[in-house]
Amino acid sequence: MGLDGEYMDKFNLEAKYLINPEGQTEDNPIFEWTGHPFTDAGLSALLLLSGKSRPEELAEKDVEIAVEFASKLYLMEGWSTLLARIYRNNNPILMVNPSMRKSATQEKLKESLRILFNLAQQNLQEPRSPTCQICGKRRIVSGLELRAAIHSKEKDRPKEITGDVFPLLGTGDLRNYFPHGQESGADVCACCLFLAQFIPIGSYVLHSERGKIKGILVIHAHPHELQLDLVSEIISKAKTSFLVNNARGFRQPVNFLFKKLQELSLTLEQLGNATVTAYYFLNGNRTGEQWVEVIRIPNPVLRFLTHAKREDYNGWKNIVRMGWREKPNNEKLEEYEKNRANDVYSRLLEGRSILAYFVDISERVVNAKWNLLKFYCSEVLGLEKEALDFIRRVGDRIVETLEKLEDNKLRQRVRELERAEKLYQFEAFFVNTEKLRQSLGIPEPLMTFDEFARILTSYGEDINVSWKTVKHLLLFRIYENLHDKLMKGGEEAEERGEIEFFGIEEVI
Amino acid sequence: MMRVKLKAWTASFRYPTFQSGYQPTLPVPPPSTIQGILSAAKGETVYLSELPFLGYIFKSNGLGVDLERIYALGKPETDIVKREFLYDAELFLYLPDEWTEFFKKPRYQLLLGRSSDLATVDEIKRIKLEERESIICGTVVPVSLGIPGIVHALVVEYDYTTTPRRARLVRPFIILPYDRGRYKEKVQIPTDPELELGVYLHRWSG
Repeated sequence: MGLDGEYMDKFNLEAKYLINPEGQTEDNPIFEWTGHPFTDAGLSALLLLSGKSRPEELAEKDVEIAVEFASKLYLMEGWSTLLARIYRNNNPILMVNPSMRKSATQEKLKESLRILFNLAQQNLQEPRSPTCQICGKRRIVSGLELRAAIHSKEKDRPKEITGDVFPLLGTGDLRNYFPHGQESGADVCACCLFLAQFIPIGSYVLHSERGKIKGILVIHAHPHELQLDLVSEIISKAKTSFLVNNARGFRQPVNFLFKKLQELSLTLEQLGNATVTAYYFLNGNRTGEQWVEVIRIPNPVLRFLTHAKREDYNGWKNIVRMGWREKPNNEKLEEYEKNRANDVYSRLLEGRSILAYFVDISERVVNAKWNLLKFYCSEVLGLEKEALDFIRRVGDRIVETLEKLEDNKLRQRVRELERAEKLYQFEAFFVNTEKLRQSLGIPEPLMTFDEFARILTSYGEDINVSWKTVKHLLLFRIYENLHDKLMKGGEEAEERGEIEFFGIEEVI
Repeated sequence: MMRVKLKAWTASFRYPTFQSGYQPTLPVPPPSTIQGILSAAKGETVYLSELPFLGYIFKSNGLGVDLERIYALGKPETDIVKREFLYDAELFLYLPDEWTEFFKKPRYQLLLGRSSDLATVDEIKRIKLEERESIICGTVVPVSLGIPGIVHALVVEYDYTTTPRRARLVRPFIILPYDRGRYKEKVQIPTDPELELGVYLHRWSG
């Protein structure tokens, strides 16, 4: 049914409230990106359902198609459970409550959504006070207004705009969280509310092993093209099989996000100012079911992922494998990816260093190429190029020294560096290596006093760029050049040995 | 221009529409919190859209999760919510000179979030910002600036002439947490030479 005369009479709408059937005007669009993750998720769904990329391009017929599709979809098996986890149980627009569900039909859902849309159009034209706290443009819709217009047995009862109709807004029973404890709930306009009803089509759903809904993942990205790229998979699943998108069976939202991001074919230039934030939440009926986790993927991490995929994908996969307590083989990799939290991902999100994962100390091998390490250090850790080059030069001089040793002595020296957990142990490694250079008759010193002081102190203030950073970079350089020599003799390498520390002797 | 430095043990800035269950905190205060602080200092409602300019930088030294008992309005029930809070917080406000007197003797308590997030004025000084290339972090900037960060719609100021208060100005912002090591992009911007950080001066007065 279109917005015909009968429909307009029924809901007392005037023609001036209707948007241009061919599309909205650029200067007065009804739909816009608001910056709120939930309304933007609904808008993404609307755009992808209509095959458009800009909100200004949306026309009345696009909304009609989306309403038709959603009202059919939400009645299908599996979707009602999902709706109750996103909106709680009493969403009268989508008729989520089991008592409403009995009499729910596609026509009723369609009509409710249409009325909401028409309210949204009216609000665009009316005086703008009080203003929606999400878009800041339209007047708010009251619970009473909403209830009066849509199908509900409780239509005479004033009701708030709460978590029933907009995720995570609160129950309404606990008014403390609304300004001045107001009874009308949150200040949201009909347009934002309308978009919020499309969140289920714009979200990934993560299930537990037993098939229960574990959480809803709403991805919010900027620029908007990236946002549409990240959610397009959801829409195609809904359109082709009428199923909720279960994030390909992933139970770990972070792992899934990283997987998605690695799949995108983006260049570093495209990611220049990009940002991705995901909101993983449940808005169920029990108190314990109302929670939200904000997962922010910083831009340098996005850029690093893109670079890793293009320049050294195998290296990146090796690094990720190190992030599980037990390194999975190829057969187990998919199972680990889907079900187990990964320390490499967590560290990247929390701003902690993943340098230690670039090397495998047990195998004395590097996991990636130097160029990937370099990119990580400069883009994510913020290490200056000069500092990195300097450390690399020191590493090369250490390699030049150690490679002259017999295998057993070599392993012993490297172990000294590997096991340096205290700064004095780290210092001792350099002093011992310097002594070694002299005894081997290598003419130039390992480093000057100023360089030695720089290595020990200049990187100490930032936790990401501490002397441990230097240690890992040096180990990388040593393993990269001396792996074969270090692994020669196998078990012999783990023999007991005495290591002389600077001023101290310790038995390891 | 003057700079006010506020310090607080804790701070907490709620996401505008996350009102249920777990309460995450925004990494920096939204403009509406600054409106609250200025209003408390002056002793009357201040509208940011009437200020000639306003800049702020917020830093904290960590994030924790607190268990908070809440009392339902008009009911005997209590409930427990988990609330994130920021620890060891500092807020630098960049304001016109006339604000000195209000912060020398604030009319009401200055809060960085809830009533328990009490802040003290640590320093008030005149400052000259230098125009140069700097990084910006620990603040919010308009989306149009194109710096990568968290995009979110935030209330700039509330209208306090009505009860309950209503949002008067809302804008989408890029939220830039204080983490100078992560930001590499420098922009030409007025810079605080002491903090070595760019200060985005908001002008909502049109």
